[in-house]
Amino acid sequence: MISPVLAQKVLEAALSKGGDFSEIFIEEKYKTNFEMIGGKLEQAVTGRDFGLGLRILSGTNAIYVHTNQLDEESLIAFARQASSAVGQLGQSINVHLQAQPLKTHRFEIFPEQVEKQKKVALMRRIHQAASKHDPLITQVIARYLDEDQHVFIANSEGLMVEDRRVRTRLVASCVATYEGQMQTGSADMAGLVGFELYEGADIEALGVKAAEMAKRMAMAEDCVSGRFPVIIDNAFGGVIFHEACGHGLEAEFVSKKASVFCEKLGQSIASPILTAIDDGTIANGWGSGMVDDEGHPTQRNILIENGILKSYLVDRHNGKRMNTAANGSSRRQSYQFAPTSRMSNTFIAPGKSTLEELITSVEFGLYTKTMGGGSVNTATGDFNFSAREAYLIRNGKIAEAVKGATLIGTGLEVLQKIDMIANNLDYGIGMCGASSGSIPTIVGQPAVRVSEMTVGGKREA
Amino acid sequence: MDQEWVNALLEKAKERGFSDFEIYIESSKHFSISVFDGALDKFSSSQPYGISVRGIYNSKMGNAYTEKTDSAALELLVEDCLTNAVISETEEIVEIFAPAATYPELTEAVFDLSEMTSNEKIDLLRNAEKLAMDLDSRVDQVQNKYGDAATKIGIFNSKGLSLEYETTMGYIYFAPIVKDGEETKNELVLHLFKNKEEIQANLIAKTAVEKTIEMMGAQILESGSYKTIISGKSMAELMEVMGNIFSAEAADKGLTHFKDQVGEMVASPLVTFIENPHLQNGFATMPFDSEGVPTQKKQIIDQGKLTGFLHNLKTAKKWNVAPTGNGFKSSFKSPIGISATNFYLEPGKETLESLMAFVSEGIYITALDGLNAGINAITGEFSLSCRGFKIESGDKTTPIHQMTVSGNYFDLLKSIEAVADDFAFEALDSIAVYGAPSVYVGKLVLSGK
Repeated sequence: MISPVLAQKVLEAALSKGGDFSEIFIEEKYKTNFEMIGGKLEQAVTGRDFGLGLRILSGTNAIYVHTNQLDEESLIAFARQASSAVGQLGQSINVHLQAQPLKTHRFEIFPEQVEKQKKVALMRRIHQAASKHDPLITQVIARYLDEDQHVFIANSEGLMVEDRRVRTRLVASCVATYEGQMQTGSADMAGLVGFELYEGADIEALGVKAAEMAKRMAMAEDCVSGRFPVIIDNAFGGVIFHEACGHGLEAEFVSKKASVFCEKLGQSIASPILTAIDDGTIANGWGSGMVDDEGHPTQRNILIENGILKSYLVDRHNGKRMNTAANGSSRRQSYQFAPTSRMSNTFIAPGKSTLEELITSVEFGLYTKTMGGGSVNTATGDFNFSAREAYLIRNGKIAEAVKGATLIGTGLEVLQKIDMIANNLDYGIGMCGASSGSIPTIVGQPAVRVSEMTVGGKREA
Repeated sequence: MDQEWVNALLEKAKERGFSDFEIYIESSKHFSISVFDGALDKFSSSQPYGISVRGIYNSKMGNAYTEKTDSAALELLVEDCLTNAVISETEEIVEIFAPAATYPELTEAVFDLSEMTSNEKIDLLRNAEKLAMDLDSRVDQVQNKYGDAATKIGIFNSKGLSLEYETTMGYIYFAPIVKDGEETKNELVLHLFKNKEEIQANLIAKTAVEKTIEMMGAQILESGSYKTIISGKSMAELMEVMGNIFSAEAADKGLTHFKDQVGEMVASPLVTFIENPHLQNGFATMPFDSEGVPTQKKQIIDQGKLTGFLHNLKTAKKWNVAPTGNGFKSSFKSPIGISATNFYLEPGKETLESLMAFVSEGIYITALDGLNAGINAITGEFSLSCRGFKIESGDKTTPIHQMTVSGNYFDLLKSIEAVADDFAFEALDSIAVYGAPSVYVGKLVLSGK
């Protein structure tokens, strides 16, 4: 994207007035974003992001600037300007970049080479399957997204790497209307993978799944509020760990003691049956990459093992404050964001029970088949997330569907209360928003039982 | 602006067969800092630039954007726009706007960001951080950020439209972490500003500490239904996530309840919602929308009655109504959608204290969490994590936390029984700002113990 010689000059210019580390992140990303509403392709937007982000670290201070002007003259002036934000010293630093061979995940069909009509055809299959699924379905929205991101990362310690990340995603959303009540359902498939993802895939199943969820929720009653046991099923259910614990293990918060999980390494923070992993290396995983956005190889990090806190998610800047080495967990949405510690593919390891055993163990409680999004305050540990498709459990059996269920709690409490874990591990596709932007992440888990949680709903118990 | 370059691209599009073509240019200046423990922690400064184009080819509209602006990239941009038009299947009539005869003259004070040096801004934060730390020994740290941004929009099209406008806004927030034994509290206070005089960092920091300390000793109440007052900030956040209910596009797609309710009472007679793009010193004040249509002030709900919808050119044509100047894009990368600008619930005449006295026994909700997922933007059903205070004998008393509040936004609008006079713009998205006073909404279901 730029020559190693120019990269070297920019890194040197960035340290010309002080600072002890400089890094450039260059990105070119081509994105496709299609939306089909009611069987008609209503939106088709494609575009190219292009720019360079420059980071200078000076002690624990981080300077971040970015630009779209990548010619030599502009870049050197830009780097010198950034350097003057660090200090007034004059220093001469020599940078020697050492190229590393490019390795990427395996991509067979690059989306940019696929005719746009083929992408539209996938959306049409979703529309047809969903709209004929049930008379209650009143609207079907299909979305197709892909992106091809090339990154070039170099730093003043000599690191120079490139990575190519191709991602594609297909989403089905449905609205069902029953007695004036409108409810939505959705389903998706995605990966760090090319268009081959869709070859032979059951595209119609996505439409049917979204339609069925919308229908069941439209006919559902309001959820009961109160405190009782909750069984959170697999795949996207993993959002519970992501919110209740994952964010609190990010060095961004831990380094400043703004997390309830600070100073707890080696201590028991969860039920002894709980093991949780963040793995950025999963082949073609939605949240994977060969290297993170600081150029370090991604890793499989065991966060919690049998209830004991084993590791945080650490980036360079915050790692410095903590005196801890970075562990391949530094990510960002684009060159417009300074990188920080983030999750990649995070999941709870499978346990020994079956889903049936979990359900039969509960006399009265909530079963969430599919979860929605949530949020957390890492300082207090207070988290919340909502169920997209949920049912009450009565006498050990799944009973009526309920809508509008929200689950809340605090991280330290809920981790201790996970008292049964099933053996049906699966992954869900998510987008995670935080200070370094919106990034693709996997949340995953087998079904878990939480012995007691506060459940919010419109119906009084 | 390089007029020559713009004209060349318009010419190129014409040659390629577009009947009409438009170029949208967004150039910004962003600056932000945060301090930690008396020292600069993060510093960011940038001037991003991007362009997007849209064009009509065989009566269909295509969109494309780029941040790469060399001549090869611009060629690709026009080709991409064309192939995106070809695959479009929309049946609606699309239009590129010819310039209006007149545009509103806005006498807006543009905040000159260079009035303050970076060091002045850093000192502002450091002093406020220190003041907040010294207020109470339980303050463990004070999360903070200062940011300002200037964005210049240019729109140029083949019908002779040539418009430019610059908006500026600054923000500052403090979120102290207060610790006492096992208890930790963390509340955030955000303040938006348009000029240097309004910044008042020390006051915001002090308020943030007070609001956080007020939450110490918070309790979890029994689940049940309680008379509820919702704070202006929480109400504004609800208005933000439910903003789409006034969009004609959402109504067309069957995605809002309001579809056939124009002229009907959709809210309590105490409720007036105003969309005012001409608000003096407003944070989303704009003379024209992203399609170049002049903006206009309107009361979208007038004393409880729905007066109409917000339109872009496409929906206005389809509904056979005059465009309302609400065709906005959230960034140059997005297609034209529909959005409000300065959008607010008109404040009432009563004080918050008198609302509490009226309620006598109930709950005052000051914070809602989970708005990204816990509310169904179509049906208005919500179930959200909340914090606030008990109201006992008409006074704000014990703090409450780790509870949820559930209800329906549409029912809530109808059940507003009193509107207070406290008001600020406290919620924002990439286009609009939202403001509301505290409101008493009758009984809501809360879940706790």
